[in-house]
Amino acid sequence: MAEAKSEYVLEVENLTVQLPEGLDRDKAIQNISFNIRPSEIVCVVGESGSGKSVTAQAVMGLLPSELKPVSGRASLEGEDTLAAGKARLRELRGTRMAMIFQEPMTALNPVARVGEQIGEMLEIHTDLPASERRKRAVEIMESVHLPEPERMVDTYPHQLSGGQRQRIMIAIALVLDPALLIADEPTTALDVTTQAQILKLIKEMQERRGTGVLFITHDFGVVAEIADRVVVMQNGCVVEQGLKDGILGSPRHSYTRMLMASVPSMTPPEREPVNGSHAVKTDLLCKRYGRAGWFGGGRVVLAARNVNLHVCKGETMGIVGESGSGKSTVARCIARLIEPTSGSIHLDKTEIATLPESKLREHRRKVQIVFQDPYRSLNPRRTIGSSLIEAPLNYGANKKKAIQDAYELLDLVGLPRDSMDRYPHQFSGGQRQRICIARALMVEPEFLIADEAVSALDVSVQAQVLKLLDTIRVRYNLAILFITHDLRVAAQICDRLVVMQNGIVVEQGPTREVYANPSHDYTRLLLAAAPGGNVDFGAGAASGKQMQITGG
Amino acid sequence: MSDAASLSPGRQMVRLLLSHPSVLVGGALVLAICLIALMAPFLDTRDPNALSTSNRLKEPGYEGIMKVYTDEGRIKVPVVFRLGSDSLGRDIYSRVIYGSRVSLVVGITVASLAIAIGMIIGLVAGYVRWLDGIIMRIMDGLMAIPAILLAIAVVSVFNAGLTSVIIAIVVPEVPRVVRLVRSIVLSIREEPYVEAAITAGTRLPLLLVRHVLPNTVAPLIVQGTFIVASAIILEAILSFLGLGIPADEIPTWGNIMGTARENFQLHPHQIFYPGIILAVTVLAVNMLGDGLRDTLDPRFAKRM
Amino acid sequence: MGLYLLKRLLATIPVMLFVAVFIFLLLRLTPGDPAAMLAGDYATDAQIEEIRQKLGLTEPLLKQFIIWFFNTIQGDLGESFYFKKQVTDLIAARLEPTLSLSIVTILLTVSIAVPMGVIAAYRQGSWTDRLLMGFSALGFSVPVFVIGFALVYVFAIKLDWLPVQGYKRISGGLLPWITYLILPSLALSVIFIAFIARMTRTSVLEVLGEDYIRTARAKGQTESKVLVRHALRNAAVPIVTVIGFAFAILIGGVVVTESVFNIPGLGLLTVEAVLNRDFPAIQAVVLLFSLVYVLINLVIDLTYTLLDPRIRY
Repeated sequence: MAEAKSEYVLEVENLTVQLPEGLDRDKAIQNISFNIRPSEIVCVVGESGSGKSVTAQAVMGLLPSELKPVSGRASLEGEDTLAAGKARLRELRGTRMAMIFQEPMTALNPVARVGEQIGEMLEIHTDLPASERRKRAVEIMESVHLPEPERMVDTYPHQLSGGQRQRIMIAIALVLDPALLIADEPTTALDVTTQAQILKLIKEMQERRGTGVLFITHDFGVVAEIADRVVVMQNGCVVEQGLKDGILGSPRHSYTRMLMASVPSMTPPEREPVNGSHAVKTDLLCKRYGRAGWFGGGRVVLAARNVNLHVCKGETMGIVGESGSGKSTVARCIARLIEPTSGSIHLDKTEIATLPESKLREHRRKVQIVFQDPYRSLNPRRTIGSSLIEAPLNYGANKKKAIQDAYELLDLVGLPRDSMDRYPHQFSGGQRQRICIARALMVEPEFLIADEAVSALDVSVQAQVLKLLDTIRVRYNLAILFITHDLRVAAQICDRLVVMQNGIVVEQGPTREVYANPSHDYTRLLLAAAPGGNVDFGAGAASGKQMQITGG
Repeated sequence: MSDAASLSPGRQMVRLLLSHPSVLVGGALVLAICLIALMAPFLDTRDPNALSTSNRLKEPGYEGIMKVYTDEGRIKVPVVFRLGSDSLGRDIYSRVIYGSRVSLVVGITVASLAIAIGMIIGLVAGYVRWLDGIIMRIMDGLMAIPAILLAIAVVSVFNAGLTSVIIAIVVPEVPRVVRLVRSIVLSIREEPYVEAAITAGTRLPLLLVRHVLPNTVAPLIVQGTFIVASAIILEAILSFLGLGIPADEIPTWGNIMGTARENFQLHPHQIFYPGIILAVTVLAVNMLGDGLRDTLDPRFAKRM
Repeated sequence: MGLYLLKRLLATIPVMLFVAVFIFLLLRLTPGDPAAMLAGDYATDAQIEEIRQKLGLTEPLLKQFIIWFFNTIQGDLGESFYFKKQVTDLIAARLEPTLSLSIVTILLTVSIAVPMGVIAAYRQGSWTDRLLMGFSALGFSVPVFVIGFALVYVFAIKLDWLPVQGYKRISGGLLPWITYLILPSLALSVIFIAFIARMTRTSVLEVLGEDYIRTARAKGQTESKVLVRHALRNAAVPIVTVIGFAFAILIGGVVVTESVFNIPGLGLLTVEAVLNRDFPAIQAVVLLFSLVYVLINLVIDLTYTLLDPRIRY
């Protein structure tokens, strides 16, 4: 290229992308401007719908056909990618800009060997012979710290873990040393310990190669961990940008402050120990999946092993752990959605682990669940009202009374009363989760299980739902079993905590104690891996406010 | 936006359906054929089984004299053979028009029976664990016999006729419905809202009716239209081969063609008239099915 | 893998057993009396009774079944009531036409349908797509015998290019063999072309929406290579499934096609056997076709391991 090299790897100027007609806003992003220098990580942070992913896709020229950039520039080392032709854009992709995605499980072609997929990049953009391509693939795999690259180069994606796949994606993206790496929520789908490793890797690779990184995330913890500069987006607009310390230490825009104030702190607050009677108690609870096959084959997984825990009335008990730790299995056993293999579950002194379905029914009322996915937890064909009164009617309640209760609970969870006649698709995720909480409360349960109930929600909505859960706990003297992978959330809402790993409880105790003096190695690992663990965003937001007050 | 959003999911679906071209075209054609079948006596037809030895194998448009026996004795009536006559002097036009009745009756009855039986068996297989294996092995066995062969075998057992043809076509269709219903039940029972209903203490029958069955309606309507189409074809094949409904009892498009095949080289139109209307009917039903699938159940193609 | 194969082969036993019992019972419960059929219209009751004795139809049902079952396992399918020949010989003589027809049809179908589906998917929404899918909808709706007669009318009667009906053995030369097979194969393949083209299109379209297609584009890969190297390779499993399924239900179409074109194969044998209540022949043909169906399904499942590394048995 004859053009003079720009000071920036990427300059985005007044970029606007049009949305198709008939949506709630007409621009996906509007007048976005920001720059990335070589060796710099710029985090674009925002909630869902803020337009952060659209920005990345626009730069790469990978926008879906319904979305059209209508004005502005995105200059990659001085060359406008929005103006580039299709062929030129293909040349640029991989050689000068590369991208990694959120879902490492699906981003790799499942029927091609990973070596071939790394080699494909070289095949497209270089004339290297096959043997050389393979050699380069092994080299780059080694540099992203994959074990035994010589062997792994011939494996298929499904043989690798999520973290390993994301390393392969990074290897593919960096094999041609692009000037710009775009990472779209690359660690969101990963467990916290894996996330920490991948963040470290991205940082290491970027420093070694001088790559400019556009890092898209919703997680302020990740921002604190990795960013040099931060761009905050809301509804398609940049509301604030600046150096990391400036933004995190003293955010100026009210939206940024609100976002940061919503991020739960890693430091558990002081809590009064709860001394209620046991609402639920498990003894040596075990759940085994699968069974030995005919010929001795077959896979057996012990999803829960000898789990002993109890939850007192008026107490929130957390189970934290990574995926596959068995935390949801325990919850589903207690709710008897699955049969425990052995052990006992005492619900208010009744043993329910072995009760047959017919006798179980009267106890079901006492245990209610709020599920993770608000979009699948409500029957899309039924009005909110009929979902709410289903359980009371099942237990013989008077219909008028049930409807009256439903209205009152809608008030309690902060939804208008006319929600009764509407359908789930008319509500947002956070609203649906409130409806699910109201539904759970309709039968006055003694025990509520929240299975990753806030994990699918944006951080600001999450804060509101957490608050609601705390309110109802106090009001109804509920025992809550709160299952989460998010250590920040757990720190704020749980009185006591159980840490699980591979189906085993490795540690339990009052939340404050577990966080302050973790006794098990795994707990220590988890706590250390939480991104931005040492930063208290709420405090930052508060100080920002103060600064503005003092400054203004 | 708010206008459409406030409708129930069912009402929205109806709106969507009416805006789909193949639903409209296919539906209109199907409606037209239903009308022809209903109105057959009024469409200037005569007894489709009336033989006339003097008017055998006539070309379309032939004007002849037919002897008719009435109370006053034998009289001669001038008649027109719009689409010609077959080897026994029967009026092909009347036979084709009346033939639509059999096709529709067979199609709709088979689809209703297959879905009713298949849905019950499918629900049981999907919800009663210990029966699942046995039921599905039996279904595998039934599926292993090619549909036409199975229908032929069943037909050979009973005396040829409408009922035996319907039974013969229902038998091979049932396993396909069972598989579909079972797969839907297995996926729906994992949905959180079904689990929520379980924790809400909803009893199994109500759980099935309220939360599981509604999910099978759309795919079953779609599957149902495809069964109608394939049943119409199967009936035509059976009757064409001489294994289905006998030509001297009830005219069907299949047996009109079966009768006509011996004179095919000289009188090909006798096969093509019923052939064309048969093809149009099946095409209309398939179009309707495609349109329904696109609007009601976009994931249907995956399940097959 | 070997273990899996063994398991699958063992699993075919109950299925085939079910088919055997089902078809045996079905035929034995039939009101039509094969003895009366064989004896002809003018036979006396005594004659009919004698034939019944000879055929073993007077024995108890269970005994009849056990005799037939053990004979069948030993490869003895009995003697045809109607043709008065060993059923095994009968089937052997009818095998070649049916195999020829099936193989030519499958080759024709796959070579036309798969490219058709891929092109339609790639040009989704365009006129090409609509045209191809319109043809597919049409092909799906016209019964095989109507297509057969239309082809015969045009190419055999009007144009006189090809023979009207019949079959010439391959031993009599390749040219006559194929000239006699062109029309029946074409007629039979139309519906399968329609079906496979449609399913190919759906599978490719579905794969084109996957994340790894986006990854390939982000690498700067050209569209044609994205289609072939990433989309088609991943769509292979559903496409092969459909081809296998079509192959399996082809058997049904063979019955009709052989009847229309008067090809002396297993399909025609089936129709003749049913019309004459020839139990041993019907049982044998149904069992054979079902076995073929089950084995085809097994082969399809085994090919998955070649196409998709995630599938291991």
